Amino acid sequence: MSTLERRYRRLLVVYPRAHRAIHEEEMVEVLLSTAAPEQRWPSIRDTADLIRGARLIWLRHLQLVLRQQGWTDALAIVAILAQILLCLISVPAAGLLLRAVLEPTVSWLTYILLTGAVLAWPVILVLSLANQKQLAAVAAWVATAVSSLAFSVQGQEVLALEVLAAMALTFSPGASRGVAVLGRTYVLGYAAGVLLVAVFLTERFAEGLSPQSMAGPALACYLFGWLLIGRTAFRLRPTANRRAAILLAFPLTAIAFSFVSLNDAVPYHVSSLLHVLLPVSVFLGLVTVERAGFIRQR
Amino acid sequence: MTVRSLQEPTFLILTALAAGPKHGYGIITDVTRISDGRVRLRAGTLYAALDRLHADGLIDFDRDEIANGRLRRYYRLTDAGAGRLAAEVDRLRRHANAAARRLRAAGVTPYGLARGAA
Repeated sequence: MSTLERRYRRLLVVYPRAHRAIHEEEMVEVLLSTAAPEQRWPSIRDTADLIRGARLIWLRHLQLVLRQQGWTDALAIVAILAQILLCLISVPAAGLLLRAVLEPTVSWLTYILLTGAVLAWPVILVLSLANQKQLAAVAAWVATAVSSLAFSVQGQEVLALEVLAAMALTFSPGASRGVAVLGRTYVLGYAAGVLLVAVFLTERFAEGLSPQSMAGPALACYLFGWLLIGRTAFRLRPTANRRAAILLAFPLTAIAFSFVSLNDAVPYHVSSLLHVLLPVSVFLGLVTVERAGFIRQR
Repeated sequence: MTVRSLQEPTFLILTALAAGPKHGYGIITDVTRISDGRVRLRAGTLYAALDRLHADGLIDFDRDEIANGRLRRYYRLTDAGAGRLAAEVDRLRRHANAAARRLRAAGVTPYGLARGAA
């Protein structure tokens, strides 16, 4: 085996094992056939091309596994509901932006970050409903990366919901499919319900516009996330709905947990319940994923 | 339902296979020839396209051969692949005809030669 061949084989490790088992030998043959006579290293363009090809094949294989295991509808439901929740969570950021505009001492970077925090998820929601799935998925990952770096105030619990939304947009048929599965009336009702509870809780527990004002929408997300579970038994696709609800359960419980830690006004029994529900939601999520056979397939 | 147009590398790979079964390197050289050297497929792009086309049922494995101690897997166009390529050719021809008609009406031949300004 030549040095170049060994180096090409090392590069091909980035491909899924199933793909390598079928195609590795012929890919090596093609790579060696197209190499220059004295070439010892894979060229930069070949390397970039192989990595890009591996990414596409990984994505397609994962989508295939998800489709075979019946996860695509669950992820489509997560895609639409998580985005609605993230739009509402960004509402307090609009208040912070308004306050920043009124205070001329705020830096231009703060303006940009706050504007991004306000507009990112509404724009991504519009893109995903307009069937621009790929663009929406890329924008979701960018928004998630930026918010994880820039907004320590937002906390890791919202980041978990953002990651879930970005994953759902990447691997599902899209938010439009989620609307089709749940029904437009249900999705609109869900959005209106979360908004009302968010406004009520923000009024009840938050004083002025502060990081704590995130907590109102956060708890609303939590309550309505679990409401989804109650609906699953009566829907046409109970499996997809149940999986979506359990996928949403962990970030929503974490957000509610954060709300409790930020607000002394929350009654002790609510706080205690959330301490129990947080590990329970993680456990339920793992059991659901395992029972669906997804872990075994991987 | 409207069928999305094929991307150029995909169109050229299907065109290469329309002439008969080919292995990976054979497809790359044929695509370069068909496109007059303009499109040079690399292995990563080729095998991502072949993986997708196989999953969509447009191509299939034909046979394996060993040449100089190395595996060469041949791919062939399926009936569905031939149909998809024919539909794309028809779509491109209709668009080209429409463009040519309008160019002629504007006094320009499809080869870029003006008939002369009025």
